[in-house]
Amino acid sequence: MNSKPILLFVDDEERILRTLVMAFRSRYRVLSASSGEQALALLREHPVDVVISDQRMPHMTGVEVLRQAREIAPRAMRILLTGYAELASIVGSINEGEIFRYVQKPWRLDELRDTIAEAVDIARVAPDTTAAPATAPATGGIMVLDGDPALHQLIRQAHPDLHVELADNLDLALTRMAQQAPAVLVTDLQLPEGDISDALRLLKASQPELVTLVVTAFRDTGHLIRLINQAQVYRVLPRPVSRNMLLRSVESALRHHQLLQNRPALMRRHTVEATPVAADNDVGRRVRGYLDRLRGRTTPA
Amino acid sequence: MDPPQGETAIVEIAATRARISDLVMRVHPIPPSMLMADVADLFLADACRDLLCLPIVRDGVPLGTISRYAIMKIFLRQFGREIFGTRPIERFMNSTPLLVNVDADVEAASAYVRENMILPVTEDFIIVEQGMYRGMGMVTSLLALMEQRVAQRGHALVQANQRIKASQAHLVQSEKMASLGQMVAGVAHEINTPLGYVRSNVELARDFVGQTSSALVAASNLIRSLLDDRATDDEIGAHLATAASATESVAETGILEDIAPLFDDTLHGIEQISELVVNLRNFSRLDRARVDRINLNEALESALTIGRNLIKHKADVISDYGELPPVECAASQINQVFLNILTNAAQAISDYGQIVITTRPPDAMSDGPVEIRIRDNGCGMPETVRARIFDPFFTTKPVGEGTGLGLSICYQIIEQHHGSIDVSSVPGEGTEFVIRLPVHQRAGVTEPTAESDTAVSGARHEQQANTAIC
Ligand SMILES: Nc1ncnc2c1ncn2[C@@H]1O[C@H](COP(=O)(O)OP(=O)(O)OP(=O)(O)O)[C@@H](O)[C@H]1O
Ligand SMILES: [Mg+2]
Repeated sequence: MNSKPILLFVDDEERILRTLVMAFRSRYRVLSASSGEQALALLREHPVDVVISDQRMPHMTGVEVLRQAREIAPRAMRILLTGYAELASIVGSINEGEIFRYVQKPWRLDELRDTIAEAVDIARVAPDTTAAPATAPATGGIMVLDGDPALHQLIRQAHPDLHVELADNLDLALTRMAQQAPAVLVTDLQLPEGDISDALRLLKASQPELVTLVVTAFRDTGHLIRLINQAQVYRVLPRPVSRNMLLRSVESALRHHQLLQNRPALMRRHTVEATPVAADNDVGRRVRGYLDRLRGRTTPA
Repeated sequence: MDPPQGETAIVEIAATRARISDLVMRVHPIPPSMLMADVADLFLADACRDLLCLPIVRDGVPLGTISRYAIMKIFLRQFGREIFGTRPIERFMNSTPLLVNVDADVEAASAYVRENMILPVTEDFIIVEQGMYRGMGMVTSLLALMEQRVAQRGHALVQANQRIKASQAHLVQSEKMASLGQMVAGVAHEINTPLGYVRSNVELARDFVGQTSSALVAASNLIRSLLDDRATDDEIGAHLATAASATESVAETGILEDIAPLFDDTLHGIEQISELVVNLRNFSRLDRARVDRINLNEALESALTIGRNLIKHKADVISDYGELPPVECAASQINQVFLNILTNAAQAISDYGQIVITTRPPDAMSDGPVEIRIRDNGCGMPETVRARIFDPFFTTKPVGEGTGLGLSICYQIIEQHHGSIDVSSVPGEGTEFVIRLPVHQRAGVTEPTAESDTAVSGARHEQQANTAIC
């Protein structure tokens, strides 16, 4: 794979395609498609490294294109580039598109260049070509961080053989997690100590194998976008959440964790954006404390 | 506001033939911490469509209710959604809800409800079992149940029922106005597409200027050395090589051919953005007096621009505008009518079709109405559907796509303007809406939306204050 990396841009506005082609053609081989159908056809024909799609297009949305791209070309990294930040499409891009980045229009050219360069690197070193194991592994615990014990109960009943813990605040959760690092973290965003998004970002940055499932009634779109780019959350389930959806998501989170364990190279596919969060704020301190404890535990004295 | 210290009368078990349990609707209760904006969204869900209010429950204990009405009142205030949308619902709830025991006698329960309810009815009741939340009960259902039982009192109940229906219709328009706000937000997003390529093009042009200026410097160095008698062949050769490679690398980027279209695109984008902004302002007309003399052709154009992201992928729009006199109307409302009908037309087209807009002035010498026709070649509708399209909440669209309020609002608005709205449709061929509006209004078009009002504190006060209106 020493040839020029291949990018595929999908947008129904030809002017967007034109400017993107101009901006990237010197370093990459650039394909462009003005509809989802055309994009999928190109994905079948060419070994695309990164696909960058708009969301709102006639016939097929960007989320749908990226969902199908996962199957047709699992190696390709997926990026949504959209001017329309609407809740359903953001949640869809996480849960169905499993995207690497959510970039908003208007974009900054230098930032987009960096993001795409990073995605290209990852597509080349960590091709996602293995399917996840068919059944959820019977190892790896689940930490449920939520004020309402109902979720925890549900998950415990569904996974009697797994270690499923409940914590109703971040400190308790971190203490427990330091004793036994879970495979999956199921959490609300709003806890007694406030919003824990920062903690999620720091956790994912230092523990890429931790798979996070956010259950929330919170609907700030900008916030959710940051959770994609900076915390690579695996699923977001809006509250009130249905039992089946929750259990299905936990299942696939466990499988995903297993996959990451088997093929650590794949963790790179979930690299988070460098976070602007100052690590010396309150949350930062707590998470760092947790990480220290974790290291203290794992490195022999 | 503090959470309630519930001091609510509970109807005691009074009879053996308990039937309240038949009324239980298993409405998923909401936690007191849920955000106002999220609660508002819940009201749009199918399961909640008929409910006037939602229960707020903590640990199984009902704390209060929040009514559709209360939320609309808050959201109708300027920036209401922005200011209050992110606050917990607890602060706005009615903390003295109607509570009925699941095993209460129907007669006693309805007596209790009638005694304690406030008109217009904006709240349903909570059904409890040993103090714990069981579900919701609809006031209308309870009264209907009583109606069956007590024939003599039927008359009074029918009246109560009618009052309730009227008060519900009143809520409808407010709800649609709130969704207009969301649509405007959608248009703001529409601006991001042209903004996207404009910005990118400008950045590319800046890079280009950087590259070409180094080529220019190399070329002028070459010229200078050619004109310089003292320059050696080697020196000239070196300058030549530099200049050649600099111009080469500029040519390689292909940007020389692309720079003109790049600027064309940029100008096009800027025009798009200006147009959206102008139309957005025209559309809302917040800076204008309520009733104004309006050029309806322009209003149609505004509605088309606002709805462009919905329409452009679905249909060619063919406009055949007649020369219209200015028409006296509430601009923002008439815009809304046009947008609703155009949106429906686009939604009725499954692949790609045509929307034809025709406007005609009144017949010469008459003071008759102007006429606006909007025709699509979409799916059309059978008579059974056509007969009901102006009913509030009537929709054939899937959950989340249609509220079924669009045309009922249009109908109300046109009626308030003393105009008419008619529809003809052939399944499989298309639909045509014809709106007729008088050029002049008789004294005063009625104020259709809620007036700005006092702070929302305790839903009860609100309701009392409004009794007079209905
Ligand atoms: N141009 C049309 N062609 C075919 N059917 C139509 C057309 N316009 C309206 N209808 C029918 O009338 C119904 C009611 O329309 P209305 O605008 O009141 O609600 P809606 O479009 O379903 O929902 P909303 O306007 O809230 O999105 C629609 O569901 C559709 O079945
Ligand atoms: Mg409609």
